[in-house]
Amino acid sequence: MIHVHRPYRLWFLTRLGINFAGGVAVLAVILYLVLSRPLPGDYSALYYSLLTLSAFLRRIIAISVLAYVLLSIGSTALLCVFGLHKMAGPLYRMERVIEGYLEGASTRPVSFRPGDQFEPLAEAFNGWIGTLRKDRQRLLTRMETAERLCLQDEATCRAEMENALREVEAELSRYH
Amino acid sequence: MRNHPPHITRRRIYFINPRFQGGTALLFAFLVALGGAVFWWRIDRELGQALQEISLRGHYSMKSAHEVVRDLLAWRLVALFAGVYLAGAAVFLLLLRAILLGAARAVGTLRASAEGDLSTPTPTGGSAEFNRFGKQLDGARGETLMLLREIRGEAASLASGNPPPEEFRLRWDGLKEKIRGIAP
Repeated sequence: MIHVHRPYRLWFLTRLGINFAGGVAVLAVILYLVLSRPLPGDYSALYYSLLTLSAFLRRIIAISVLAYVLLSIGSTALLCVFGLHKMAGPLYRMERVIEGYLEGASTRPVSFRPGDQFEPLAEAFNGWIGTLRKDRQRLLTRMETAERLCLQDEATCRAEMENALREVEAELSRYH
Repeated sequence: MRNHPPHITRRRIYFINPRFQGGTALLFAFLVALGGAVFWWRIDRELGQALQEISLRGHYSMKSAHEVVRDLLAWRLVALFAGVYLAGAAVFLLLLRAILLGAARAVGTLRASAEGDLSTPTPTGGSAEFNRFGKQLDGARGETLMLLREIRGEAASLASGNPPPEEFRLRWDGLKEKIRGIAP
């Protein structure tokens, strides 16, 4: 069963929470600083001060919310870049390996960086390539064994080679 | 003078997949912006109303406007954090589920390939990134199957065709070369 490591999942969710909490904290501080300014002592000044504040509040809130949005988006974007590379990296690596395979380059066993996710993907790919290589080796060994018999008479050589070819055919019939 | 070997530092690449990492960041950005917009819409109305009400009441026992709106503001800020975080966590977990589904399908396809099934396409659905990878994988499996079929066909034709010895030897060597090309 393929899974994402629980500590990694928790780490990401915690960092996400810290990012959002940080943004909200900045918003709270800005609003606190604006709203906690001491009000004037006398009745009329206080009345007008409250009215003026309520009139300017829209702009103040808009600016503080904008600060919150920018800060949270910035920190979350960084979290996505630095946190999700443990999932994006293995997929990228597998894509490059498959590209190399299609181009006919020598395929080495795939291994991921420490802490990367999706190890079963690399194991399954290595398993497939390993099976193909075992088959290749078996087929070549069988053909080389038949070639060795060519040191005897021509008829035995040909018969043994044809037997080897039939075995190659039978061996490959499992692929569909 | 001693020559020190050059110190090789490998730069670690973090921004690997703009579609995946950038797409997820955009999703979170949308949630934050949405949360901010809702907060702004609610608090703008409610704070203005609270301040107007208190100014009209006339009994001013507070030292600052913050004292008037403290509780309201605190609850709205808690709601903003909780809303955005819960939505963000849900998005992350859903994304993870889709990715795991895609990865599990790719693993299933690779395991089936090891058992000889190179023609059944990788099931689609789930993560777009793994759908793309599945197509690429199917391409590699298809190429492999073509090569194996070619080898099989050539082996069958050579075994039953009874060609002259020179031709037989040439085709035999050609077949060996093709077999060497399996999983290079």
